Amino acid sequence: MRLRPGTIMGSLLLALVGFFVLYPLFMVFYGSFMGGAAPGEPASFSLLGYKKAYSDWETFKTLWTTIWLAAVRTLLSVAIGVFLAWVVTRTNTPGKRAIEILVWLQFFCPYLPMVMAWVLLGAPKVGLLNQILVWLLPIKEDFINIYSYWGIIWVSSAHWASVVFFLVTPAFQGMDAALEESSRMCGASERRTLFNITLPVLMPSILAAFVVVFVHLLESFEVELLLGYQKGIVVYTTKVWALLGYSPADYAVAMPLTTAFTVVLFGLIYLQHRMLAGKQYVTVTGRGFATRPTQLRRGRYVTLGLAIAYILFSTILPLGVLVMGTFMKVFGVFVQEPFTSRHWETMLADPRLLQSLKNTLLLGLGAASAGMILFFFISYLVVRTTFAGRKALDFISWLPWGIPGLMIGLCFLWAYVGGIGTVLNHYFGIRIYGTLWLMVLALVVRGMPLGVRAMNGALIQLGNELEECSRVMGGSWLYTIRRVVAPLIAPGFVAAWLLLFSIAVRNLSTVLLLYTPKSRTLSVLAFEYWSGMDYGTGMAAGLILIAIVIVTALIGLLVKTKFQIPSTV
Amino acid sequence: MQVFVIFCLTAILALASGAPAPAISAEGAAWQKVVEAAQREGVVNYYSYPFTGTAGVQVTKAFKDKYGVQLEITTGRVPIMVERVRMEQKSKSYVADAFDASGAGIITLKNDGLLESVAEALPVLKEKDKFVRSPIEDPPEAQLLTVMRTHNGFWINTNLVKPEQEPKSFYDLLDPKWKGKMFLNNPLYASAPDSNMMVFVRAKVLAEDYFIKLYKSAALGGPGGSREAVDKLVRGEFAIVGPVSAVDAMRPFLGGAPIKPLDLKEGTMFRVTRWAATKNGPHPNATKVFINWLLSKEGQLVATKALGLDGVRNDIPSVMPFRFTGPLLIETSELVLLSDKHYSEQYLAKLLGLKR
Repeated sequence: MRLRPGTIMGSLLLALVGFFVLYPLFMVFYGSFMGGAAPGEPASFSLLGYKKAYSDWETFKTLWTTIWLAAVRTLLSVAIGVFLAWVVTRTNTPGKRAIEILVWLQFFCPYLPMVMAWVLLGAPKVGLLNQILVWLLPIKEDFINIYSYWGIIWVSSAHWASVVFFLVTPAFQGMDAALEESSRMCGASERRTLFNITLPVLMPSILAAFVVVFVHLLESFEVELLLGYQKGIVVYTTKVWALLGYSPADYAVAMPLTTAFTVVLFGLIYLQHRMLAGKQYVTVTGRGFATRPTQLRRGRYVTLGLAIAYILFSTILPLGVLVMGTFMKVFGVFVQEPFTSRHWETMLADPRLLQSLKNTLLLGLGAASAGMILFFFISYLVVRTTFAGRKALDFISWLPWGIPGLMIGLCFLWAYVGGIGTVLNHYFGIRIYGTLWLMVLALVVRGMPLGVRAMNGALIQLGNELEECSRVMGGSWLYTIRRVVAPLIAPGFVAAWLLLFSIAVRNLSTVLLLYTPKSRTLSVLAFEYWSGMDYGTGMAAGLILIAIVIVTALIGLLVKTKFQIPSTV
Repeated sequence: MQVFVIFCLTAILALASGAPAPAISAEGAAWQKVVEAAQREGVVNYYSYPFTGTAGVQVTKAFKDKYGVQLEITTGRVPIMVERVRMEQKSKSYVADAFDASGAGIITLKNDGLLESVAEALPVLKEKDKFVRSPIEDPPEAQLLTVMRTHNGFWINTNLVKPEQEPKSFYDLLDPKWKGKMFLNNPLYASAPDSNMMVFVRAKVLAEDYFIKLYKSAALGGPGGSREAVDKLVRGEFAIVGPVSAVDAMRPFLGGAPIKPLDLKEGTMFRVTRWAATKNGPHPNATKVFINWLLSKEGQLVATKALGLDGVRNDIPSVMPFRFTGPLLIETSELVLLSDKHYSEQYLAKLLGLKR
């Protein structure tokens, strides 16, 4: 479909996205050649950083650990997430609605508090699970050791499985049951239908989810820092964090290390394009369709049991420990008279709480709303048009994945505190540093790969005939988008909006270098309490944050239900 | 009765004669103007290491109740905050008004010319006899002011170390029975190990060889520093940790955690928390009022109670629940600078064969 006004819009969009993404990214490369200068500091060209970073064998060892650890966790997350999505959308497992809501609950839980909950549960000797198991069974007191590769794999996979679920469920829901029925009518078993029909047809969504999760796990930070670093399990992000934690910070090595990920990213984009090139994956067409669940008979209780086990260990248990922790005098330790309400009193008496709450909501609404509108248009241009620059646009929208959240914060410091920020500050008196605007922009850029991929997954399944019918009947492009495209992709759009809102409100790594007292968010407040060893109060702040995102998720579920296509059975 | 009436009449006459009120000095008037300007500014942006969490809330409330000025505390690891201040100053995006730290971080900011002196404007510094020693750490620049005193040493978990097993000497820490049970701050990421060694070696109490043996016999931490070590101690993952700052250990201790500092016969290191105003801070008057209050009797009472540590005045009672019987070895400014140089050169880390 050729759009002439779209060419103008596309060019403007390409320029805007290019500036927002490429300018900070350029600063990463610029900084990597500045021999260790800090943001805004004058420096001269030097290859010293590259020499230091890449002449060290440890760098390559770290990169290898990062890649294989991310791959294992991604496979496990996708396996669990796809299983749950299939159970909830395409089977007659009882309690599907409750399972869906509880998996969403896991997805929306901020990462840092959940990781700390697992420290309380799985620390060798003193972890609650170890204490219970030692009491019940004749085993060693470090039977469970959360500070290990397995600890990292479990905690990450438990969370990212919910992300996979979130990403693939709309596609699972929208698939026409006629495809599966045809398979069964030809004599195929349920299992054969699942593996030969259902999964291959939904492969674009699954692959998109795989890539999303894999790249996020490459740049994952909190789990690896809290559970792996002290045990010598070093990944790329914790290495960069350690370098920034030196005094003075070792930018000379940190910045060149960042560029390594861009190379990995190029490989991922190429791989994705090769996998999906030339294949048809339309599942939502102009014909009416039904979504009849597969009848599992007694197998439905097995699927129910597995889903409950996942929810219990990924969500209920850590959340319960978190709540308990906010009432403990000494976090994780049962002293005499171990419980107190002091942490909640401190939290609620903190004059920073209200401002942080306000900033958090503004940040989430701003980043999700501005982001999704932008991402929809990017995705539409890439997937539904023959705009000449669509490949460049698709490519640019991927690039922020190449930079971990922490480094995106640093890029934006270089770009908008130094660079153009200095010009705006000196000549126009406009200071961007420390404003919510800068944080919104950083989070829009950060969320771009995910948002665009989510929209791609939703748009790629729409057959062209739907829009063509509307245009043939006289509908304008805007009318077609509003009355035809938007309702069909609404579940995916809402899901992605909620995803971005959740990411924005709980984000820590990106905003940590950009905030000032005026723009402090709740996640930062919780982190400040946490890093000041006021764990109970930090957890109280974390629980308030969880409450916000859960309320948002429930609202989103209601909205999503309204847009769902009803089953004919 | 007659005498009483005459006395009362005399008193009334004396009051009615209108004895002149004491004159407000020029200094007092000038300070009053600073206070009024501070109240118009309305806020102080304070990057602080010790005043976090509950302690920060208490100090914020007390200061606001007194002057109506909001104290906005931002906290985090000292190297991160140092970089933040440096970046703000170099890019002229001034946010921080004041900064505190006990180690080398604040010294590096001073050496980079990013701090300024407010000492001359502070009336509280005239109460010279009320301070244990002069709060001005670095005459004549007078950019660094001492606000708290804290000890830095080794702590034990009292559930894992019984009183009869408690080490009494540094050399007891080398006992093989502590292998696998001792966790030390890593000299790659924290300046505390270099500082600790410097103080004891300079005092000719312990030799460098001792510290090499000590660090090689223990598990070493990551970038989490003192707080990571205290965490592990509180949760019982290790029986002994060090050298950690009392700023970090006192919080869980005050909450009832089964930990206590070791009183080793060779001595205990004490260091100070230094405070400074950043250059071109956006709220200069509020900053002066805050530090004046923090060094006053009232401010020190609030701060010491909030942290469980001793302040810098001798007219307030000590709140520290521990007493050390061995020598108190103070980390002077000279030693801080030397330790900073050692840490930046990774002196102890190199002795141990550690690499970043």
